[in-house]
Amino acid sequence: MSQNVTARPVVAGPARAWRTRRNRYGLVGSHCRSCQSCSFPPRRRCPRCADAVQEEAVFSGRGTVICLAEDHSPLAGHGDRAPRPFAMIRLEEGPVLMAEVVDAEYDGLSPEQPVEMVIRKWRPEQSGLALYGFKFRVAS
Amino acid sequence: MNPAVGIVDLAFAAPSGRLATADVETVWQSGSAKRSGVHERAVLDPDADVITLAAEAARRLKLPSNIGAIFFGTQSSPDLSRSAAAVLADMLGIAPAVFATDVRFSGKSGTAALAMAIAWVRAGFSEYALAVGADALCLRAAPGDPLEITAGAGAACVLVGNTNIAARFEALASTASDAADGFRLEGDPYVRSGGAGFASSGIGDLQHMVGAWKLLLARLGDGANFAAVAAQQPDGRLTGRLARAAGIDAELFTGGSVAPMLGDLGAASPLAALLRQMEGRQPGDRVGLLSYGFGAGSDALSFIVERPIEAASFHQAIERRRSVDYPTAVRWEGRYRRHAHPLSVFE
Repeated sequence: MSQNVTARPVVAGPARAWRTRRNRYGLVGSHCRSCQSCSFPPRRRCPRCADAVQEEAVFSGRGTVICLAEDHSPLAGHGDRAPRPFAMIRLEEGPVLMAEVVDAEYDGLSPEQPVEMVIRKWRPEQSGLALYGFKFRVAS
Repeated sequence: MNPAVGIVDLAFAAPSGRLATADVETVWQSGSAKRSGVHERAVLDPDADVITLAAEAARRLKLPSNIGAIFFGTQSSPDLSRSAAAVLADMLGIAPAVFATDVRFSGKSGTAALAMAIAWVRAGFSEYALAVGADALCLRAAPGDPLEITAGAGAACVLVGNTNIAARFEALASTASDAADGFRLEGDPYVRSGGAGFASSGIGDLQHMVGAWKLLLARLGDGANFAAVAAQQPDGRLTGRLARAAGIDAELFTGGSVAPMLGDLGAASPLAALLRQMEGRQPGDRVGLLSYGFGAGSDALSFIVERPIEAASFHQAIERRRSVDYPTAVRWEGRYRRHAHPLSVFE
């Protein structure tokens, strides 16, 4: 069976990268004035109380690990990497997101561990443009 | 009299991976690891580059909202034309109302950026400016080249301003001439050495550094005593050679040692050394900063300490370490070119 060696990874183009940059770089989400809950990514309507008045919120980048998993089947562009730990992380402000945990081995991580945001490449330059975004590491 | 301007804060970041230089020797056996004075060097993570390192360092600073300019000094930007400073500005949330530009002069790109930031603030263009010195020389070292043993990665960010100054700028002197003791040509991923003649004679590094230092002393006048000097460290030996050649007390360099633990940090090297030298200083101390970039040129700056700066970011970067063996470093740093999409990858 022939394998498609020329297949290109599906990489977000420069225009899409431009639209999403603030969320990727700065953890910019939304805050509901009505019920005070925070959301990430930002919502037009509060997922908790359905209020439509949402204001922009820049989160601190500090949070704690809820649970962990190790990725053994990397997406295109990450084939050179060893299996990488991913975690569900609860930010200080409340929202939960999934992100890679860097500078650590999976076995050295555990739930409740405090983590902090760093900016790293989500995608390498194979498409001609690196896509940067948030990842997390164990807090200093 | 010129208005006061100086360093408000300084922060540093380096990758966590460390490669023992003796490990590289087991493969290439060049004998230069021991001579280099570098025990370990930083290894760049596969998802990092100078922009992510600079962002990590800058996030350690308390950045005011009115930063008017970013000068990004690097010789290893991932993009040959797009500005790393502009990407960093967006990462720090200070875009788009900011002047952003990249600055390149090999190893002295960082101090060149700092000199520009100082001039920018002194000219009154804005209250604050950010100067970055960041390099990932490990990506630019050919397999088996002596540079592969020492070439590390790191970033230092300097917040320059005219209020709340920690180190007041005093004087600047520079030298530059056409001395190709190192170069990287268009299309070549690797830095090449200009040859042993430059290294043994000191025509590149020592000549330019001593020249800049003497010019600085002349500008400061008689009786200028330094409490510490932060110098470029392409390896662990240059400061010793520099002390002898420039007549600087070797003790003045010791507090700013960077290369033995992290290798050659390029544009970040003198700024990281400056951060170390600023820790525990007394108000009134004079601190020197002396950089070198192959090509060749040197910047010498002097500062008067008004308050010390904590070097917590440097100490944390040293403590946050993971040992990486040479095969892993080769893979992470993309030492060998190959097809971009290995067949084993899940697509």
